[in-house]
Amino acid sequence: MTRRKWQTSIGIGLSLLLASWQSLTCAAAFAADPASPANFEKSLPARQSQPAVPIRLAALSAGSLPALTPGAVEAASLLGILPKVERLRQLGQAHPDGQPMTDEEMALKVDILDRVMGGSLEVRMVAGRIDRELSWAFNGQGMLQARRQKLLNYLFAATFMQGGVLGVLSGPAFLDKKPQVGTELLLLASSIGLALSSISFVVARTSPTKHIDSETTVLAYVFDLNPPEPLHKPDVVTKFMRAVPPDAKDNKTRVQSLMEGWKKGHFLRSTDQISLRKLAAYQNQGENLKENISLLGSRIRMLFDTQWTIEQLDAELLELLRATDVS
Amino acid sequence: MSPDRNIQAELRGELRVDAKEAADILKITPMVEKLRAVKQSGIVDPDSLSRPLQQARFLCLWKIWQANEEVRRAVGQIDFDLADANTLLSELTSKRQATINMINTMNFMQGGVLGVIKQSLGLQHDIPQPPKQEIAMTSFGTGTALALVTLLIPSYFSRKIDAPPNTLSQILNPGYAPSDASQSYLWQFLTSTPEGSQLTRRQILTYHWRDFAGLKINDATVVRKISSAPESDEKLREGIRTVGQRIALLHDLKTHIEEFDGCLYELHQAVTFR
Repeated sequence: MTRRKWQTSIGIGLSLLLASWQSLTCAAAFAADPASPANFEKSLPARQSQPAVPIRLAALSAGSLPALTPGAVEAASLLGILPKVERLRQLGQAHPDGQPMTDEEMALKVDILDRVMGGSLEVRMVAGRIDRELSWAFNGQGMLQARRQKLLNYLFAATFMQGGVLGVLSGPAFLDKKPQVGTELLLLASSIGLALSSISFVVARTSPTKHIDSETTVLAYVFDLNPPEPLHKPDVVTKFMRAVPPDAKDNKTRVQSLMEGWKKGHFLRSTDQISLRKLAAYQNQGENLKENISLLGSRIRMLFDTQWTIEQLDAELLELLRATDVS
Repeated sequence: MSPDRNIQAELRGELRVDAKEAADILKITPMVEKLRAVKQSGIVDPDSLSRPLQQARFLCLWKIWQANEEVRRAVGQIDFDLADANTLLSELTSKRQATINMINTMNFMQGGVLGVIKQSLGLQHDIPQPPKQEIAMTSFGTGTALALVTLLIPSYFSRKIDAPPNTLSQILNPGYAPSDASQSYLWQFLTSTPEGSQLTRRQILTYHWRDFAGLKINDATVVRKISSAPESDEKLREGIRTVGQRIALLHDLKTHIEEFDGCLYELHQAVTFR
């Protein structure tokens, strides 16, 4: 194959790959837009600190190239390709329109695409893991709620039935002119009814518990509990979570912002090790920690928030791709 | 269903087991090995690679992305099935609870109405004792009957299956193969045998559901119900239990399909230059 043909085929391939990636990331970014009516969680403090969704090109830099957006700069830094991005933008600006890419440009584009894809795969992988953890949490919560409702239904039925049976039995006693026996039966029915109602009240106000049987969640990494190394190590996502967002006014990392939001929303009531490990479903060998409906509710909320925060990296990767799409 | 890591082999410089499997499925193992050899030789700047190596990198990326899109497509379909099942479950459980609440209210009301009648009769001293007691006994008897009804309610609520077959039908039907089976990397992943196993991932998943989720995989009617795939003239109904089980299995299937993401990620790690 001649050099020209090789460049043309790679160029077409890259365009197709970029187009598919961009459409996917656009969809993800649109879904994550806090302004979208479909977004049911508008009140999260951590979300408010995030930009809507690109593209807000900052002021022009010294030359004619528009400056990289803060998000693109962060993504490029996390991926370790900021100098390459700058170089590619310079090369793209330098050659006239319609001219084929140079070998250097092509190599830079393939490399940047490679790294962006790596970042995107990481986001997908972690988001998939969180999906699994969410399904476990929803499953556990549904099970406990159903167990409580079932018990309440049985208690109600038992209250009615004992009252009915003892009441029916008391009838003949009254008819047979034995009011003492009849009254005693009704008194017994009332007492049992009162006891069962009291139990129902207690059951309705307390949550059943179960042993934590799910895998350790990503919250263990958010809380920095030193859990065992995961099967697939998401280095870029970890760095992203521990970084301060480019537009942060309070200089807090994403993890710190999340934790603060959870404390404000009373999802994170205590930061002692046991509470954090329960929330993260992280237990030591031989330990039997328990979870209840409220704890599972908090875990679900935290997992959703963490997933949303991680998916913000997709938006930054899109900004980066757009910023390098200069040819 | 992920194969265990072989740390010793990795220390010897071999490819991770999951990445190797993905490379085999994507049919890019020679290119991956070539790129890894270059990396191991100490070249860290990919810009200095020769054109054939750049082509190899490019083709690897292309295949990985294609497989990733297949995962996204399958996950999108499962998400749709999950949304459908969750809506149905919510509908059925709401109806059941509303009915139980209504019966309990009726029970209170009949007790209250008959109690008022009985006690008001008691204030009229010319009414003989038996009619009052009969009223009370009627109230107690009705209360017992209504309470019994609430115990029978849970098995009553069901709905005729009219939704199209869900993604579980593709896994539970041993004869199923998608129209793009020969092209689909994800399908090859699901029908391949992980290292150290005699069964394909699809079979492992099915047996796992049989052993741990209580799914009767040999009962064709149960399988058709859970897959929402009745035969043309069959009138199947689905209840809360079936829909709940369907949701659990769909979540499980999604989790296992997304395992391919992890394999692709490791494969990408193997060919990327840092």
